[in-house]
Amino acid sequence: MRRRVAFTLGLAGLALAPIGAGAIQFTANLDSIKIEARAGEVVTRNFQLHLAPGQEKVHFRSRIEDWWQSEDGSQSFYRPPGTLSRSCGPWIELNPVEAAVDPGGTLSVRITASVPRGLAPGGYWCVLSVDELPDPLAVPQGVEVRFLSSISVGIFVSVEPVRREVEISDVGVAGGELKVRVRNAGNGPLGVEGRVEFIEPGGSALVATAVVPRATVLTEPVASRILTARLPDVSTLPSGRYMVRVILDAGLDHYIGVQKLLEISNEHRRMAPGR
Amino acid sequence: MSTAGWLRAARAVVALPGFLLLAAPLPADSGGWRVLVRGADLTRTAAPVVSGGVLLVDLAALAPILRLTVRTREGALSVRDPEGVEWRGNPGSPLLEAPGRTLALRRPIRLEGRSARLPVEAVAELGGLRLTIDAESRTASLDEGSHPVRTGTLNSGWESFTLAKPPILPEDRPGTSGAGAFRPLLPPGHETLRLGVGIGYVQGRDWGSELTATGSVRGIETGISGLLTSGPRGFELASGHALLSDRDRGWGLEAGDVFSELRGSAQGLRLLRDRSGADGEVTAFSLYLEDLPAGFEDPVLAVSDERGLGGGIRVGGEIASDGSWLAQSRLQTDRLGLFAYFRDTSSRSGDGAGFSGSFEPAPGLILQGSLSRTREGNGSIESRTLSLWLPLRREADLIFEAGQVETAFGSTRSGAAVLVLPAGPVDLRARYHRRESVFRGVLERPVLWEQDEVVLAASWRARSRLLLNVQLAGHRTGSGDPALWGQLQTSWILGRRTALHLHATDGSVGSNLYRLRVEHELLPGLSLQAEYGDVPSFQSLPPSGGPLEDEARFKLTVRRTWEVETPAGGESVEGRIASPLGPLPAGTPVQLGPWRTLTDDVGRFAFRHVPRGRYEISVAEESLPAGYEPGGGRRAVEVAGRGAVEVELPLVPLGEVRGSVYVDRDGDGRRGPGEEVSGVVLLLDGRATASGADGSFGFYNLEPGTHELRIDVGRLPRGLAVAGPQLITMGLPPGRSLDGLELRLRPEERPVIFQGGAP
Repeated sequence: MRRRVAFTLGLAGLALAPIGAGAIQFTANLDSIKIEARAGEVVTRNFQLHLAPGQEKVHFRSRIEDWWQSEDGSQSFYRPPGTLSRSCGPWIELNPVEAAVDPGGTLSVRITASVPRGLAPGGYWCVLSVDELPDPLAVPQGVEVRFLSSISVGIFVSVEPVRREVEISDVGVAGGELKVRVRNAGNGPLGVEGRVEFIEPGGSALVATAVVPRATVLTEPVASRILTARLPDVSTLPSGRYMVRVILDAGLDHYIGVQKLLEISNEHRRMAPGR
Repeated sequence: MSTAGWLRAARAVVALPGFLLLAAPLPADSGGWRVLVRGADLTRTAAPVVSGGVLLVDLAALAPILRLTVRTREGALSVRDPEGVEWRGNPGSPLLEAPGRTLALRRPIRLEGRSARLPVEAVAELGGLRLTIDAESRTASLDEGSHPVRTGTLNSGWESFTLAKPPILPEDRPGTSGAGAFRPLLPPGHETLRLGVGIGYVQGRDWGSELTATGSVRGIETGISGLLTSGPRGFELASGHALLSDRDRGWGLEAGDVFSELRGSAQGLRLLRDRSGADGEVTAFSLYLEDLPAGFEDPVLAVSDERGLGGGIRVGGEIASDGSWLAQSRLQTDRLGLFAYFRDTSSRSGDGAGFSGSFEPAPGLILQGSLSRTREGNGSIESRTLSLWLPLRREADLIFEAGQVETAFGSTRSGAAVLVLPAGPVDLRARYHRRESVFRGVLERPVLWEQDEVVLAASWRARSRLLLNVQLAGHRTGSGDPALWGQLQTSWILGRRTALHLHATDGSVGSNLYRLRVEHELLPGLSLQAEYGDVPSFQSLPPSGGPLEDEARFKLTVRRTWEVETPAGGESVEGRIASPLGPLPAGTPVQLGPWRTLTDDVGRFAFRHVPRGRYEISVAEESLPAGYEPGGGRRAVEVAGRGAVEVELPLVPLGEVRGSVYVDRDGDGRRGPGEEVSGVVLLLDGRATASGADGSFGFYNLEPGTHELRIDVGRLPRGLAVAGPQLITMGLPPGRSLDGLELRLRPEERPVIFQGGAP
């Protein structure tokens, strides 16, 4: 039985954290691997996984897969490399593909992207999946169930010129959440994050802010993404009329935003008595 | 000194070069930031200031250049941008607003007369320019070409806008990531020479000018310094020293004031020859023209040498044409140090010999001692010292000292105990010192002279801005009255550019001294130092026969320093990556010692200006393309001097072996649907893997050559046996893969043995 324990595709932020993947304990930097390259160029990066001491030797196999998410980010899909037209999987090589790591040791995987000549510019992506394997030489101890770990790390290859364009195509407030639909109109994946400001009408006093967590907006097969920001608690943001300003950072030279005077009903965010 | 004398002094060469250099253009005081608009330096126009971590520039002053129309009427700011959009904002507001658009400012609008200060990113936004911030060089560049921004069509009522983005400092800028992102690092393409000139004037006394040049040019280390003075003794070159040293070629040249362990300070020339590159393995040929401070003598030639004999032992010496010579030896280990010398300068003064040693049996516990004897004329001086350092708790030390000096006129014995006691930010020190002297010679009876002295000292560093040293001492001589004196030294850092120093001594012994010094950095590279009090003059000795003046006076010193880029030295290390498959794609990383570079289109690499030394060179494995392994491991390269070293680094292309395992249930000799077998253990050389759910297996990243593949029969699933050969030997060409291997199993047929024999 395999558990995919972690996958980050954020375009910034360090995810160097110990991970307890059921049977094994390890530390890995799960930041996406970003490569800027030209067509015909060969670029090599490294992925490292540090196995915690005090456990058994672990066998790993690394592979490349295609990956995408549903529009609301609730589902992830993994397929063989080359499924997507913007997959970088077919031109990624790994070394080592299989390796055994001693307790306290490090798995270091070289990832080489050989960008084909004549490749159309834009962003390409795939994921590196590192699977724990049973030791082929281990002697079975009767009937046993093992949880094998698997982690995936995004690989994003930008072949210039990358056209970065994003549109805010819809905004809605309901159920204590503000949802923003953004559409990727460029030719490469974008990391989008931002904030929502609630401003007193007619003034410039900022009453409250809400965070729009970072998410990746791909170009295929779903080129849009719904971003969700939870409204602040009613004590911070009482129900009322506000200038609601959504400001997003998509890695462009500018922030983009939309604003509107809205009546916010925030009663459902009131804390329950006694809490 | 008369007025005419001062005028002459002012005209003196001592001041002229300094003033010329001080008159050179200096960077404007712009808070350290430069502002470039379309490549033109408009720092003075933009008048940048940093407020709350945000760089503000004067929008009104830049308006004509940015094709903006700016008005600051009725206390409000109005801006028409190149597209004709009218922006408005009030002083103190964090917003600039236009119909349908809002520009949020990281700092509020500041109107100062006709100036309108806004964050630089907002000014770039208004001018339709792209802003680049280089925090290292403190440069803000506004250039053409910002990315198009689309905000799309929204459901009704939502108004779209764009906001200027604050500049991203280099350390925060997202870039390529993943461990192993390779960044070339090459030896510096240039070297640096630091030049300095200082001019000082001591009120009512004299002038001085100090010139310095340190750094290197083409690998030749340069150290030049000189002090020129002009005063009551006229114009003097008070001191001067020049050293040029080429470590790559192993030679050096020294001129001016040179020091010799045989002769002390002298003026002359010296040629240095570094034989092995190790410290101290130097032969020196010297020409001494004049001893300091004695005066002129006949020129003397000398040669000195020092060699290491191994085991921490070094021997050396110097011999001169006037018959004087010096021999010395040294032993230095972690705990023991011994030094001995013999010097014969009888042709000038006399001879001498000495021995010293130190022993540290435990960390901080140190025993030191010395013996020396010097003969000059008919007299001699013998000296003996002994000290013991005892480490106490919490970094405190207790030190005992004893010494004895014997001369033809008497002897002196001394003993001291010192306690060093750190107490947080305060270092305390207490010292008791007793000295007994017996004078003989022309007197009828020996005279005994005794002195007891107690010194208490405290040094207090208050944070990093204030350092305070206080020292109180009292001593009593013979049956005389006790005498007391105190000393205060303080350094106070008043700001990033200003420091204040005070030195004062007061008491019943000796003269009272005080000196106040203020140092201020006027501009980067230009500093002013003002002193008042008991300030020594440049020509510190008064004119012949004149009394020492003991009066307070001013001293002013102006210093200018700057750095000049000079050509780099070193050697080139070049080569290529060799692979049986031909040149690798450009960009293969190569590591040479601490430096890294990438190969070009034909697999060649080059490191220029590599200093002399021994380096390991290899393909940087962590950034090597996954399809290769380095061949032959790391290599050593000896960089001896100038020239070029050629290196070839082989790479081994890797391949794969893939296949599948099936059980030939229908006996047709081919893999059919449902015949795949999982969990079959396969061994290739020393590696092991197991077939997957679809029966497939693979061995990856294999070096070319012969490999042996076999099924681990002992781990076969029950009821299966190998149908084909148990061992497959295969040759793997470089960079090639073997795919489609099919390993056949068969159901294992076991005979049925009926109970009780055949039916």
